[in-house]
Amino acid sequence: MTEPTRHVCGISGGKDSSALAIYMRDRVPDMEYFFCDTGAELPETYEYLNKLEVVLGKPIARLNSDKGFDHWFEVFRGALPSPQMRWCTKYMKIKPIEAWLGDSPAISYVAIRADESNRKGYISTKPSIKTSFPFVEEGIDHAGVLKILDEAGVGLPSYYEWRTRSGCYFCFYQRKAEWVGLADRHPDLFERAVAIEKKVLIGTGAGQDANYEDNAMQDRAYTWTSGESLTELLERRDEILARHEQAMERESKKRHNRPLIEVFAEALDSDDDSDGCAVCV
Amino acid sequence: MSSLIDLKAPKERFARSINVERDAGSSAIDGYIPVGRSVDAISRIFRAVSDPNSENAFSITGPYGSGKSSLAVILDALFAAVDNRSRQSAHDLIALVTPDVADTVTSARASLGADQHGFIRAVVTAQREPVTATVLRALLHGVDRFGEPKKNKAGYRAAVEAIRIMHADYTADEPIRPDGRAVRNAIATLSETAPVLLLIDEFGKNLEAFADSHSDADLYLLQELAEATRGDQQLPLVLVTLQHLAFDEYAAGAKISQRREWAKIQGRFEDIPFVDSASQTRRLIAAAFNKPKKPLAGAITEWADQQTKVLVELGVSNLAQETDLLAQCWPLHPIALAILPELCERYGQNERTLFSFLASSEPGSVATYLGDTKWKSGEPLPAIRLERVYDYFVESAANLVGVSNAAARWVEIDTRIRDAHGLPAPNRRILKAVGLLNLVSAGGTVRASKAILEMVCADRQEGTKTRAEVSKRLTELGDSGLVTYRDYADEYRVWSGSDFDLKSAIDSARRRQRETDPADLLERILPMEPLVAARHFHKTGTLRAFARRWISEDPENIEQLGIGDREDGTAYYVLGAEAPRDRVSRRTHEKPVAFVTNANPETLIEAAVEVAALDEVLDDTETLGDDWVAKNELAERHAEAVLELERHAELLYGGTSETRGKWIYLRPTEKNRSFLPVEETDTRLTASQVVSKIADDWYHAAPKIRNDLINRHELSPQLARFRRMLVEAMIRASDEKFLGIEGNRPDKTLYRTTLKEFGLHRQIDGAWKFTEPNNRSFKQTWEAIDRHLKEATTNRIGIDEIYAQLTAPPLGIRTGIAPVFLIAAIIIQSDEIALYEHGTFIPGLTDDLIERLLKNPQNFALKHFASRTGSRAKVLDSLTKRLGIKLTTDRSGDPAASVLGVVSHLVAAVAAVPPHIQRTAHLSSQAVAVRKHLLEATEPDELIFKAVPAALKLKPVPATGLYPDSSKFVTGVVEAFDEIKNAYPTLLSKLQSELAEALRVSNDDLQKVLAVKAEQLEGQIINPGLKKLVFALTKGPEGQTQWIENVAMNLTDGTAPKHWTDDDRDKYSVELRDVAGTFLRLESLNADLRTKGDGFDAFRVVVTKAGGEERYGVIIVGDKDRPALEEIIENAVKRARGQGLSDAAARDALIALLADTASGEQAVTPLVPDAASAPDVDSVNPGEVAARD
Repeated sequence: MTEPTRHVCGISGGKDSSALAIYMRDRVPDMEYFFCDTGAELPETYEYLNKLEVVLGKPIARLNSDKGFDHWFEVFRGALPSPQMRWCTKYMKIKPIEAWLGDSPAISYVAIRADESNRKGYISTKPSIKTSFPFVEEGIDHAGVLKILDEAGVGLPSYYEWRTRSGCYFCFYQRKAEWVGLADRHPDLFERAVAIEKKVLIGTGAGQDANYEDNAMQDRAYTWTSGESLTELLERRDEILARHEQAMERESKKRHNRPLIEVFAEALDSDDDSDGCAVCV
Repeated sequence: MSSLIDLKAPKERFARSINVERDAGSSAIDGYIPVGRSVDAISRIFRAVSDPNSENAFSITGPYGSGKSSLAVILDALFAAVDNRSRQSAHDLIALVTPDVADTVTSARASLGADQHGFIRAVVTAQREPVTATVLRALLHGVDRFGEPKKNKAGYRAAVEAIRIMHADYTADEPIRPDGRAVRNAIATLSETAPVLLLIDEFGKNLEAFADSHSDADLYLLQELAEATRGDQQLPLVLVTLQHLAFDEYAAGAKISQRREWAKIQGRFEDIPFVDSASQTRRLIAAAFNKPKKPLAGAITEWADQQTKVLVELGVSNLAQETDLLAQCWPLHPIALAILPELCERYGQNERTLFSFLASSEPGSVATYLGDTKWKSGEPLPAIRLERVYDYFVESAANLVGVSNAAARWVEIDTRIRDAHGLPAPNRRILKAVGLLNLVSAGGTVRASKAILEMVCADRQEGTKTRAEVSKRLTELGDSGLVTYRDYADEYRVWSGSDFDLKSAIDSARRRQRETDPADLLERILPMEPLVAARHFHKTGTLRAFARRWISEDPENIEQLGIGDREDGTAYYVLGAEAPRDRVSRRTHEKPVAFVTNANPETLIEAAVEVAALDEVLDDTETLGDDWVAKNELAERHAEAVLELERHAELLYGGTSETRGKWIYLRPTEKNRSFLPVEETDTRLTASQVVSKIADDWYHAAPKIRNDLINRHELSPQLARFRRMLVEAMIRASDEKFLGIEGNRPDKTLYRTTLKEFGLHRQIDGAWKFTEPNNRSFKQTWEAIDRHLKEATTNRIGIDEIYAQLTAPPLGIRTGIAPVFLIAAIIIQSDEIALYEHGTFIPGLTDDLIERLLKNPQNFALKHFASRTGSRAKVLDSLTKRLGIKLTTDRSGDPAASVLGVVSHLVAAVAAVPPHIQRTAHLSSQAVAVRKHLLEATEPDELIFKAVPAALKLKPVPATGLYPDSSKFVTGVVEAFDEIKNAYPTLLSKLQSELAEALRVSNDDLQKVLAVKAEQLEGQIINPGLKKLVFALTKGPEGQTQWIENVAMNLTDGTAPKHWTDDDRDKYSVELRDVAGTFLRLESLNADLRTKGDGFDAFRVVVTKAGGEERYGVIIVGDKDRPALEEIIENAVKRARGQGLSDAAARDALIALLADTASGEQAVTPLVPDAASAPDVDSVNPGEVAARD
């Protein structure tokens, strides 16, 4: 007897995958939605997922929820992920997805838009997984995605106001201006990130914080962002914001002949495509 | 007077014919390229293979450990098929060293058409057996590895079959010896498919068997095969044998006829010597000379006798026994002869250099010397001494620099001698002799000692006529700094001249080092590795190591090892006769202490001082500067001093030491603090045996764990992973056979050697479970774990602390395995033990928790809830019953209520309610208070017996005595708990009934009815709030709960009800009223329009009063009623105008008053009593309605 084929749709917390989830709701009734929860997502992301769940009318499976970042931080005794050692992606995204999928045949619906030519989502190496690109097949582009989200009443995730992608609040891929954004919007999370940089996890229990300072390499202090600690970064906040403004200006000058909405849309897209935690997308 | 060359000359054609002289047909050996003996051998074999005129039988001879077997391996690889990976590696290796040889290999294979499929590689290691047996085994091995034949398939199979039969016959109980020709024929057939390599390692075993057998039948096969590799009928066969000794040396015990036979066969093989020992080389030298003529012969004999006597005096014993050899090797001076082999090996191109030194006509060669030197009978015989050897080899070696790894030393000495300008000739001769001896000497008797130099340099030449003169010149050389005398080694060294005053530097360093405490000094200079109790390990399965320390007789205090230290005890080496037993401090969980003494440790201390002094001078980089000469000297002395130190340590304290005292150790009981002897009166034990005995005594209670991979403190990453898998299985599948672990992975082995072995997990009454162990070897461990758990009844105890305590004697459990035992204990007592991570109570064991617990035990603690008596037990029992908690069985096997059972149930359930319920204030005050404590729970007993009663405004439940509020308490808890648990479903049903009421629909079938109603309005709506509601009603998810959640979210700006705040909850009601009004207006208008034109007109009337109260409705006026009603209105207007109003004003006033009268209120329906919200007339868009129609 052959196993029934599963239909799965990964949600990253970003707009495209969310729109796809809504779009597929009435098209594939037994769709299973999933989200790889690092336990360290932005509050905006969790809020957005809550909305999505209601709209979808079924729960979004939170993969990995028992073993989020805090867990691995303790297991690795304060050894933090970095572009060179991305254990975060391996342990909190890829492994949980593969364990959840198992070996049964499945179709994975991937939110690549019709107007994205060269982007790749997570394509499983498992032969039992096939991929489908509904937005590409049905010609749904950026505007289409915004319309889907708007009609469903969820709109854009609110972190787009200050950050270009979903993911952990301390994501080491975020820009310096985004760190400043985190400090402004979520001072508590920024404070946590500062502590984690020093190998301390705040508020792990009623007793002492999980502290692995002794485990740190004495001569090579880890920093989330290149060349400086978060505390140092925040001291340069005005400089960073000014530079960010300039960069945005340059960007808009390049496209001076085009409607603002288009420029904005492309800015969102290009940010989305950068080399981030795009595993679930 | 004649030239010596006329009386004794080197043989003209000097080659290695000495080894092959019995076979004139053997090709001369030349072109020896010693880049490595292996490469040479390979080169020769493959060159022969590619040459159709050459024979392909080789015997490779070399001593043990010279790498013959490695060569066999490389050969095997090089003959393999193209897709064989070892072949590629071997090829790369060869190509790296000598590309041409690699090319030779490739073309050789190709020349036999075997570059693709390779050879049939019949490679074998011989045993003491007939050659035939070995060859048959080799062939079987070869065909097994060859794979499918591509050609001559039938013949190949037949040959393989034949070989199998012959082998079977030959290895049967009554062996049938196969015919040599049959074997040869089989090989011939095989070789039609692919060329055959027959390689026999340890061939000497065959030869020994042959010599023993006193039969020569066996050799025929070899002869057959060797012959098959050459001549007209040549087979594509390569025959290689490897052995330790030359063929004929094996045949030493054989009969004459055998030896003759043997010699014949050996002639078939090309011998490839694999290494040359010094004595072999000297024999080679001896053979390089023709026999001397008279009268020289007699003079040489006399000379040799004389030299022998001197050599005996000097202690050069190996040469002293070979007077004949000395004679044969004349004119070489014995000392020159002694060093030549090593000189050639280390600095020359081995034999080639040697032979050209002996036989060539180069200046400085022996032949040239003999030609140039005259001698008359009766004169003393001249001899070639070291300076001549030096001169020859300096010139010869000039282009060799960089090839030999000893070249640096060569250059160093050469440069110094060259730079010694203006030196008198005799001094220079001596200097060269010293230099040459320095080059080859690695200690031993032949070195640049005073005696040797006097012997070899007193050459009757001007300035060095006598030993006395040589001695004088040596002093001069020493004074001028050209040589230095190392008195401790009695050796002169060529010295380029260093300003550093080594002697006084070392002397003063020695003085300083003598001032430090000898024990400290030895600890620093000769720290001892921990010592493994090997026998104890074999006996118990636990690897234990003892720290070793040097200690004085009178130390201030002896720190004992305790828990947390990795070593299982300490062995003290006392520098004196008395062990400082009374200085051993007492501590809890102490580990064993042992002493060994020696009354006379002075020589050891002095040896340590020497090393320390040399260390000190070496470390003084400022003074030493770049004086590498001094540095080298120091380094060399240092190495020797260290050896000396180690020798003394062994001599004074080693197992067989005669001078040391007996080992004693601390008695392993608390009360009687005395020391016991380890060794019996007459026995002497090694230190490892000593600590084994002590470990046996101190760690007698340790469980016997036959798994040394986990029975250690630090696990390998792989094993740590399997341990985690085991522990996860322990919490996941405790009721399954073998914890549900399938197969034979290491986690199964861990299970078998621990949980199963000790009966911790087994089947009882048909059910698999964790239970009290039943293995006696584990009894004390289990009791100890239980004791530590019970200790935690008042205060929490750290998990790491429990581990540490288990490592103490008499258990000494390793921290790698301790978690498995502890978690088993926790599972068995799960209703009594609470776990805390970072101080927070954890309601249950989960995978992620286990992973962190194994990694960071220091973050975890536990507490034991032993007491279950009195009113507390009663309360727990009724709570358990009322809450419907599944009972766990306690240790006696009875189901029992427990603090942890109740608290875990409550905490887990409250943690699972939606966040809105976790923070809403819309609950009873009791429920809010109970919820608060459950969410913040840290101490389960505090929570259930104090905090929750307080929340219910009741007294705490006392540990002893009566509790009058018992039933109030239980009821209160259950009510509050139910309220919390049911709050969310209650909320949703309330939201639903509000919706039904607002939209004036019955609560039954709400979802379906509203969907139909909303659908009719779709596309007519501008109001965004209404739009969302209609979207939710039509496009919302199915399922009642999901449906109402979606509606609710759409009415509260997209916040899901599960995550609402109380404000969101209020917003829902407000927004619903607002939107519902619009919904209903639109709906009613729709209904009106549907009926227009059927004999009546429909009017929509809206009345808004000053207070904001609004009424509206659709009023239908039938065509037949209309004329009469219009007449009434005209009359009324007329009468109103009579009151002084304009026509328009009169009509307006009438409309308003008509609506405002009591009867009018009933006229317009339905009614929306909403003062707060403004009428939303914009939402009714007549244009839209019209367009739709």
